[in-house]
Amino acid sequence: MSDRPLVIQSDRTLLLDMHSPCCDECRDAIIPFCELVRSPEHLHTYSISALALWNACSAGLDAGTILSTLERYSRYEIPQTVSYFIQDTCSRYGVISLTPDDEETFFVTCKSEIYRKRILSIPFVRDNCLDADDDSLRFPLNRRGDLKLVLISNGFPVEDLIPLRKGEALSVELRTRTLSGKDFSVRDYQMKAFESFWAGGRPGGGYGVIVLPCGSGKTIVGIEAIARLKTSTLILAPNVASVHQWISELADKTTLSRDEIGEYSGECKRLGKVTVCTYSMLIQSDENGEYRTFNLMLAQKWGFVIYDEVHLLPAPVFRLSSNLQSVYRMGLTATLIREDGREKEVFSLVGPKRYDVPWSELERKGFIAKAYCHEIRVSLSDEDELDYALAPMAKKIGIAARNRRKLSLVRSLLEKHEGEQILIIGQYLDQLEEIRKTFGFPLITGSMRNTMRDELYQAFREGRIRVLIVSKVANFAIDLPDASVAIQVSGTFGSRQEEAQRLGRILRPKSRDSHFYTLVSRNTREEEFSLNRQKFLIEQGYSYSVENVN
Amino acid sequence: MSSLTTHLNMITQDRFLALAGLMLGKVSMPYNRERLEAGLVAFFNDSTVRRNLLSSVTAGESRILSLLHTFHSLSQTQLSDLLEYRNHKAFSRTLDRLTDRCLVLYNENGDLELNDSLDYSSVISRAVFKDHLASGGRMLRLTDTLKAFTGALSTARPRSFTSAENQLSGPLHEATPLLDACELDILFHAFLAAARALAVIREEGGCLIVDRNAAHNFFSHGTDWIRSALLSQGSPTDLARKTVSLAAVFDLPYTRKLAEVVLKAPGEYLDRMDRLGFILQAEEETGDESIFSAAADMNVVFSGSSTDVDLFLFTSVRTIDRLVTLSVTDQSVLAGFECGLRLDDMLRLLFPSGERDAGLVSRLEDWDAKYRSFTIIDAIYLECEESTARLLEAMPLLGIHIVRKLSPRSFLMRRDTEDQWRRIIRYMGFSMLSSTIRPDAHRTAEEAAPAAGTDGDFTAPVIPEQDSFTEDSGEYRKILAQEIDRKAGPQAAEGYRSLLDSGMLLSPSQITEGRTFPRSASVSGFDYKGKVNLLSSALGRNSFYTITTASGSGVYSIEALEGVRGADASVTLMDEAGTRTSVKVSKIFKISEKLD
Repeated sequence: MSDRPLVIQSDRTLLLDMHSPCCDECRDAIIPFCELVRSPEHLHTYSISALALWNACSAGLDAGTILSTLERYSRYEIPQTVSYFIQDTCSRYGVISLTPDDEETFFVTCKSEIYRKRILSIPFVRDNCLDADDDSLRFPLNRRGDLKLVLISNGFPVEDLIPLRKGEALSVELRTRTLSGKDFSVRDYQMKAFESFWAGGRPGGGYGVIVLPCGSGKTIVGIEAIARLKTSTLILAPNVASVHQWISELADKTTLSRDEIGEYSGECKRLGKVTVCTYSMLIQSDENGEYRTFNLMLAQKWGFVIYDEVHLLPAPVFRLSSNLQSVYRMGLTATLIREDGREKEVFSLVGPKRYDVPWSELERKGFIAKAYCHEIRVSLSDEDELDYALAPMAKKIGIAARNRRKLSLVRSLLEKHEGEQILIIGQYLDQLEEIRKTFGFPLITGSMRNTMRDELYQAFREGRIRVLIVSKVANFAIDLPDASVAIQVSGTFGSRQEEAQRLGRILRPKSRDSHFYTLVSRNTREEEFSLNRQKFLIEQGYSYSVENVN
Repeated sequence: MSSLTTHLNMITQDRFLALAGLMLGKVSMPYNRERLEAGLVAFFNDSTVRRNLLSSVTAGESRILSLLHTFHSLSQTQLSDLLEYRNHKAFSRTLDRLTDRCLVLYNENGDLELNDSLDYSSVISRAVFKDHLASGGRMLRLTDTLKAFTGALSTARPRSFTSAENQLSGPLHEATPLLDACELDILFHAFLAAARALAVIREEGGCLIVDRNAAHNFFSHGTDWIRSALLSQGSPTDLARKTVSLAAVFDLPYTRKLAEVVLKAPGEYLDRMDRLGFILQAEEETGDESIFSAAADMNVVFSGSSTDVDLFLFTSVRTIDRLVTLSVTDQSVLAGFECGLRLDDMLRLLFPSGERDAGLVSRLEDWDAKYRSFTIIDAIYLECEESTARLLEAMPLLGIHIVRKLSPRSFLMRRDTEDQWRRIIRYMGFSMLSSTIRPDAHRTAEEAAPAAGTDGDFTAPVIPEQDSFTEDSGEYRKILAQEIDRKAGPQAAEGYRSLLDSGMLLSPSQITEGRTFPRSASVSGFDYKGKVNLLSSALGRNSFYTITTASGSGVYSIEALEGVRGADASVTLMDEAGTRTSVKVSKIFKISEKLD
């Protein structure tokens, strides 16, 4: 028994002993019905939630299979409360199902009268139901996403039996040798991620979220999906730079021609069989309050939608997502943390988490760079100290973050890592501007034109620029393969997501290890925020060395 | 005398006659008691009667019989408590039915016992503990749970035992999925009583403190001792009332302790309990030690239970389950330091194998450095002439009472020996020692000073550097006075000077531009509107106010106005005889428009 790797707790958390010889096998077995919570060095924590179980059911698993899997790997007897929860939760799956009617409507069928009455007691259901007979309720197809959301939030899992629609056919293959002349193949974990999403093409598959660390090639999972589904695709990305990266990757690694890849951003508005569009374009309205791009995209016959950095999905885009329930859809992210707490809505609309792999796992296998995290603390400068002491609480963090003494720290780190590709990342423009003036390196901010930004990114990639100063515009989706050092001079309060994403900028595998420095003012509130920022990465198995300097 | 005869002698004459009538037929008067007794004894010895008596036993009666069979004899109160009867009438009726049928008899002490002429084997069962037996043999982790209680108390430092239960039962419930809410309450309550009695927890400085040595001593004993200790500390009545629940909470081996401690049951009854299966061997709590992990995610996870209680004193409990999960937080580590743990102790406990996680070590070292960077001394500040200070310092007897010399003319003196050093100073010839100025004396002035900034903004004062602090206070006052003149407007300057006079102005950083102070205002008569207007203008605000006076009359309570609490305002009241009384305004309220 003691060689079994899993310990199941009464509160439905599962602890996986990473020193067990069969831990990999166990992880693969439990991941279809569990969610990874944290993955430090020795024990990884998973949890069993109702949503995870219902997703497992939708992929064809049942309570018996789940329990027997747990029994096979569990070091101790499964707590009764856990067995009961699994059986009870799974038994509720399938009592409510969605079935197609015509092109405009669909049916909701309940297996018992009591469920029918209970869902009809929900105002949203009553208000949107077109008609009802003894067997089923009929709804307009454009309410499908919202209805699922409401039913799930009320504790009614929905078995969605409406087939996903195929969009226009797309002729596309992956290249084995990229246009830039490098060998190319999809990695094992990227393939597994796609297979988890696809679920063999069964009902219940073809939608969901893939969670992979920054720098591990989430884009490739999306490209693999495009090549396998072969249908017209809309890719939604967080900014123009990432739109360009998608286009470049698609052109480089697939047989799609540049003409077939459309761009819909502030700079270019051209639709293609595969179109990459920014989130901000979608939520732009004209003077009449009309969302033109949004409506244009809705009118297209997409067969597949990819939400890049899905944790950033703007709330207005939720409506688009709820209207795109009948197509294949994939969310890609490294950090499933939303500051507005709407993760569940993302899962309901885009789909459940299908694949998640611990960062440390990919680091161990060399798919992402080994990174060392350092928190360096420096006292406030004399003038900042007085300002900090007298400032109202709300302003203290800004003063601490812009501590003038950080400048000399930046200098010494630049000297220490001379010859390496370095990013200096910060929150406050005046602070970044001061760094620019002091050291003379180029600075990228949100006010800079996209073409100029792209040029600077490209120069950095090509090694023509060794150090780049960036504001939060570079927090996400910027691929800078050779950057090996990041110096974070300030950040957005205690944002865990930002910390992880910034580390992600230096995680592309390379010949040397990466170093992530976060500069913090000693004995200020910045220390407290810093600790909070680090939580996500610490749970992923990273550890910060703390160094105090004078 | 047989037990049946004793029983018949113990019951009242009316009940005896009723019983005789019931069992033997109508009793003719005058009656012969001896004959009736003999008749009843013969009646209950009849094999058919005995068989029928036992065949008619109900489930409720069986519970009573089973308990009496286990404990041999119990008082009516003990029996009632053990069965947790809420409806006493129902209990009495059940018991009466049993005594009327002589299935239960009163002994010469008035306690209840079984009729030894009957064979109860067919009606007694473990069903008496049916509900609780279902939990027998389950995983409990009693000692870890108690250690978690200790750790939670150490971190939370509740003000009293009552508030400890209120404050901690919620978080502890989340952390103990092996116990239901009721079980947790019982266990926590019993632990608090035991820990208090054994000085594991004591009240000190207005809060509950965990005594680390006493905690070590407590947990150094075996599980049976701990269970016994938990029970023996509470009042016997309370314990008896909750016996069945406790048996379930502590799992069944405890029942033996229960009997020993609470019911004083001798060994032979414990043997009976053994035979009946009341005593079961609980799952071994020692478990395996195969898992012990302290990682950079600041969590400690282990599967065994022999872990030192110290580990719980600087961690915060997340889950007590098959695996125990604790988390290391700044607050829990602070509590650990306060308990007397040192960084080395923590590292030894977190990394018993010697292999250390660099991230966690780094964080702990950082907190340790921060903890040691502050020294907060509860002491009395003594200031005197420089020449006097030299004398005091030279006095050997006084040396042990001086915590620290702060400047050529000031000391920090021990608070706990104030009487002694005062006597010594007086003995030296300084007879005019003023009393100690307590913080309470400044409360009014403190409250009168409104917070700087607006809308809850708070400006923390800069603590003077040591050099400034040791400056001559006259010089320092001058500096402060200059700062007031330089920074404060004419209206605020008055307020700052008042603060300076009362000793509340300690640093130039307290003097900020734009700060306002409420002024005193005096109004007379019962001219309500006049008072309001006067106060309003005196306080420099445009709103209207209504006043609650200390006399209690004329309360116009509308809406409390935040920010002027404790304003140093007063009103003068005049009664019908024309006597004027000046009273302090205790509260100021804003008038709502509809009342205006």
